[in-house]
Amino acid sequence: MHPSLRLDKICFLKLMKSLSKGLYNEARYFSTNVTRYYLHQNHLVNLNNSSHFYHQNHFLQSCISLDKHYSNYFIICIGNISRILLFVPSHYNTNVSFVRWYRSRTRDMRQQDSNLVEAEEVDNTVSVMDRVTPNELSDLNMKQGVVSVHEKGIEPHTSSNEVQNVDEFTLPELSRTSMSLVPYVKRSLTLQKLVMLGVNLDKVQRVKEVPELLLKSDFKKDLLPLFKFLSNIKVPVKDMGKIFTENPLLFKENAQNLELRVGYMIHKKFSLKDIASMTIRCSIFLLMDPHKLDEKLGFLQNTFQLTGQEVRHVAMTYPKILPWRQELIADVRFHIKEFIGFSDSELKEIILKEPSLYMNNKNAMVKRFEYLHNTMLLDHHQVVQWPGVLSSRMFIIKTRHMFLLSLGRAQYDPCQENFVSLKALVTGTDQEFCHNVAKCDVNKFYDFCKTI
Amino acid sequence: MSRFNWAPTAYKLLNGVLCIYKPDQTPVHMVVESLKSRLCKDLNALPCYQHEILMPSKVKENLQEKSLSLKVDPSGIEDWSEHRLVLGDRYEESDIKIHFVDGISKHSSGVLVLGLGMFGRESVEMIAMSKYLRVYHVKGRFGWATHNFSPKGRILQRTSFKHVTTAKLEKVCAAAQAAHTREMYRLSGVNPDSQEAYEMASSGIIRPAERKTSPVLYSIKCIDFQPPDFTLEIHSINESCLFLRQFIHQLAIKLKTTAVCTAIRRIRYGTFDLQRALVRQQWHLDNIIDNIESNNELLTPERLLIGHLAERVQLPPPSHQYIGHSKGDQHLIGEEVTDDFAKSNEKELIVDSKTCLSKRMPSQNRDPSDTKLSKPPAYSWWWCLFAWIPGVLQLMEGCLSFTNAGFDICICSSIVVQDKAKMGETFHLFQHLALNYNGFIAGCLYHIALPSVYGNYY
Repeated sequence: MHPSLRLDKICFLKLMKSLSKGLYNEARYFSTNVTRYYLHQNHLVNLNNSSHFYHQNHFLQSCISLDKHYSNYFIICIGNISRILLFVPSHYNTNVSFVRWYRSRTRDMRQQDSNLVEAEEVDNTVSVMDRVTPNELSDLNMKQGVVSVHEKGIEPHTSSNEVQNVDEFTLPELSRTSMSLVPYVKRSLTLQKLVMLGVNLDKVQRVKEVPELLLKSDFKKDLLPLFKFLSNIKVPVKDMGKIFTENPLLFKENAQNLELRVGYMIHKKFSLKDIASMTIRCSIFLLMDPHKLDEKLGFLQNTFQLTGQEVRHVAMTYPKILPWRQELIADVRFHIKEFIGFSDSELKEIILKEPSLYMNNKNAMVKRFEYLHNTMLLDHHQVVQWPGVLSSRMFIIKTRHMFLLSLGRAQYDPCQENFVSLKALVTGTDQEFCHNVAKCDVNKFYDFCKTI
Repeated sequence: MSRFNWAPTAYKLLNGVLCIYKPDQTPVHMVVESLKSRLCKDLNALPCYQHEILMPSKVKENLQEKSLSLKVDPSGIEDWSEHRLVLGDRYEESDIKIHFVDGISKHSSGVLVLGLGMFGRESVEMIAMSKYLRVYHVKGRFGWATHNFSPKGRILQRTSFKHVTTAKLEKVCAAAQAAHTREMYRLSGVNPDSQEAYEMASSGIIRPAERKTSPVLYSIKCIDFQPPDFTLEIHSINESCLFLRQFIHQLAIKLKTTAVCTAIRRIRYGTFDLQRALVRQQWHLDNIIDNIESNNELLTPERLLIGHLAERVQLPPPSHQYIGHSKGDQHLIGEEVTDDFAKSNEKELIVDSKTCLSKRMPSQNRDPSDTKLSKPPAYSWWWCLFAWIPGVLQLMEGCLSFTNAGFDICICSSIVVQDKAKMGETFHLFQHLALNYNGFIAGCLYHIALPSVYGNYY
């Protein structure tokens, strides 16, 4: 740490002290240095795009962000420092959540706590900010010597060439750094259309380079081919938003590339309907290289001795297994083979019935099997009948089994009457379980849970 | 389906005290995390933004178009930056603040009191200050000792437990309780011989003056004994789960065997009992809000300020070692136990022999200055009757009496006398009884102002 910065840190502590004592003039004296320190440390809270800018113009006297080690709050002061405008919890360290927080809080709290949150005032300052020209802004940046937060926000674009690429935005808007897409949505038709299609911009913007890409792209020219491609492989429109939300890197893909990959799947005798349903559930496989996809399908076939039809069945029932790492699948298979003692044919049966089991925590599965085998006295064959029980939660198995035991209904042998299948034991809500299996009131079950 | 149709309404109601049943094998911080995530999930499932509740009113009867698909009118949304898909979910886990009071360890289960939001936090602080009585069911198993008193720990010693009977166990419980009663007076800072002590004892239990001092056990009762397993019901304040486990260990040592603590279950926390507690399957928004509302009735000033009475007095220094918890043992946790294991055993045996001696040789009209207690308390009498006469205490009229333990040889009983004048009368009654029944001798072990925990005390 630079010596002067260490000094600033001391200033910060003094500031906190003076604020807590109510000595606002003193606090104001310390605040300037503190801001510099935190700007340097990249702990800057970027209130509506440029806090340093507010600072210079005396709209925002100081905007201090404190990291978690020092306090629970950002303190944002507007106007005179004696009027502390907002206390923002420190975990809102990105602008988007701040805006969301701010919007939700102001609406709820405006009446209750008018001296703590003064929403109108913030709105006014924001509207004044819009009128500032870019030259002024860059000058201010120079004077301030601020380390702007590049890695989180959108880089400022100053050259005129780039501005022409962007249809909607003017220079001042792009010169500001922002940590989220929120300020742009109001103007950008592209973003609005994506929202209409159900793309969650909040999640999409967290992926590196995607928000920049979306801002620069034109919906009709750049994004429409992707949506057209999806509708070509019969993905319903209502699911498209979900696909892009879960897999924002798809925006960077070329539609022709995607067609190539789907072509590979069709070559492997997947029907178009299968591919569509797989895309909805796990669109990441569209980003996979056909060579790797081929390798993965081959791996599944060889490890579990599956036929071609069975491999397709596994990929269809649980497409998430395709991008999963081979070594992990092999490791889980080895572990449950050696520690639980399933035979090869039983392992094959498991992957056909419940492929997700091979992506589970292996130690937890062994623990559950131990309980099923040693306490509930079930054998391997019964577990393989419904392997999903190995991925259900331990407390569900335990409480329900003990409850059935107390009622005298814990009977897991299919050859005798009052048979309780593992699926009936584990799945369903408590109401369903009590009605169908335990045949008693739910409250009785809850009372029983309180005795464990 | 939730009964709310606007998330902020529900969010505002998440402000108060919540009572849950902490499941076994889950640490308290995980319980808090899981509550937060469930609440967020439920809140975000409700309409959170303006456009979500305004849309249905704008849908009009469709007269022109034949298609049944309901299209959202984009012009209906004025501010796109207010959309949920832009701003994200309205509530995050960090929006919900949960504080807990007197948590229990990972391997124990039971009633846990949590405060949600600002009001909840304040209430929880008040509850902490009021030092409520907690009731535990502690299960133990004879036969071996481990380094951390739990059955899964490293085994240090194996012992036989054939000689342990219910009567012997109850005797040790009663002795430990008696020792803790003396400790209770020391920690509350009140002179046990004073009128103040009597008034405190008659109005309720006597609470320790400070929080997080040494634990006080108010009642120890064996409610189940099926060797090697046994269950104790313990009423206590200021205890920790480690202390309870350690207590089981020391109890067993007094019985000339060893034991581990297999389960700790808290069945009551002051006014919060099992009836109110929500089990894990019930942790949903609606249930939680209902629970918070029903708990509001418990947050009355007379209930919350109950422990403040003891705040004003100063503590005298510890004067004596007492059973079940000696000063030297306070720092015994985890690995350190193994180092001090032999030492503590020795110490225990010394204490044990002393108490046994004083138990076995009670004399009639014992001089109070002879007992370990320097200041003899008044108003309530502890008796030692050397005979097995069931139902003897029923003979006495006008005295509220209860048996602490039924022994083969020794019945250690207490008689609660409501005022001091009756004390001599009761003593004569006992002497009379002793003469009538040839087999037994009555002797006063010690007398003490003793509150009862078997009322509606919290």
